[in-house]
Amino acid sequence: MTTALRLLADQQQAQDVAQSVFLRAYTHFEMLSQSPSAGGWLKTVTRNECLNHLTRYRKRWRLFSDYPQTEHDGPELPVEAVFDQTWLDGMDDARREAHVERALAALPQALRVPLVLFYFEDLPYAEIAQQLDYSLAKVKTNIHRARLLLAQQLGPKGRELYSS
Amino acid sequence: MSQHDHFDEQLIARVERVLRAQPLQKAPPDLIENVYQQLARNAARSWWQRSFSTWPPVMQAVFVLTSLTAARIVYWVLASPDRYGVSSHFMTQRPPWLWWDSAAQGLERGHALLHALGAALPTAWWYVGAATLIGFYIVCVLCGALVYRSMVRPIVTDEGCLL
Repeated sequence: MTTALRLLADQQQAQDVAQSVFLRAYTHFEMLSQSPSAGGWLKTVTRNECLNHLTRYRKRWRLFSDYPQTEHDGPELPVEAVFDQTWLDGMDDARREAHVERALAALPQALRVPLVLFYFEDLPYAEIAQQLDYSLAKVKTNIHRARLLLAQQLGPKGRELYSS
Repeated sequence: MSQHDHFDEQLIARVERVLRAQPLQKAPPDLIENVYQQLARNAARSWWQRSFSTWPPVMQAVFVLTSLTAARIVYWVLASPDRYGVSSHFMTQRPPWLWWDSAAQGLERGHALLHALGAALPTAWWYVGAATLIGFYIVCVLCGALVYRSMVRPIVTDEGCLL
C-alpha cells in the first residue's frame, strides 16, 4: 500500500491497485504461501501495477489534452536557502512524516516516480531507466531535480505552506 | 571541491536521511474488508461466469467442440452456392458437422472467398466502405476526447507538470 501510495500519490488509485494485487495474491496463494520471497513478489507486482497504471494514464492524458507536455522542464530552482530545514527537525515524528509524504506527493509525476523507485524500492538507475523507458541520463537528471524540488518543499517554501 | 559539488553532496545526504527515515504507511482499515468482499463475490459466481481456464475440463472440451461446429456451420452457410454465387471457388460442400477440415484448406477457401468478393464488388464500394470505417473511428475518438476533457481534469502544477 505504501509503494502504491508513493508512486501514484492518490489514495483512491493506490487502494484500487492494492486491492487488485491482493486478489492476484489470493489466486496464487498456494505458490506464495510456500515461497520465502512472497513479500518481494507482492512488492514487485504492486510496483508493476502502479507503473502500468501511470503509463496508461499518461498516454490517455497526452492524447486528449492540450496542456503543455513539459513533464519536468520547470523553472530553475533557487539553490540558496534550500537547506534551511532546522524547523523540520524540530517537529515531532508524526507531523514531520506527514509533511514529508505531502511534499513527496506534490512532486510532479515525472520526478516523483524515479525518486520513489530509487529511495524506497532500492532500484539502481539502470533498472529505473528500463522500467520507465527513459534514458539513463534522464533518470539521473530527474532524480536530481526531484531532490532539489523536494528540498525546496521541505525548506523555506514548505515552511511558508506549513505555517499558513 | 567546488561549492556546487559541496551543495550536491549535502543535498543528497539530507534527502537520503529524510526519505530513509519515512516509515511504512498503514493501509486504510476498509482495504482488507473490500478484498474479502470481492473474494466472496468471486466465489459466489457460477463456473461459467469465471475465467475459461478455471472451467471444468469437460465443459472446456464441450465449449471448444461447440464453437468449432458453430463456426463450421456459419462457414457452410456463407459458402452455400445458391446464396452469393461464389460456389465456383469451392471444390466441394461438406456437411456442417464435419468441422475438422485441415487448416490449409480453410485458409485456401477463405482466400478464395475474399478474392471472389473483391471481384464481385465494384471498386467504389471498397472506397466508400473504407471511408465510412475511418469516419466512424474519427467520430469515436472525438467523442471519447470530448467526454474525457469534460469529466477528467488533470492537475497541473506551477511547473506545468501533471500530477
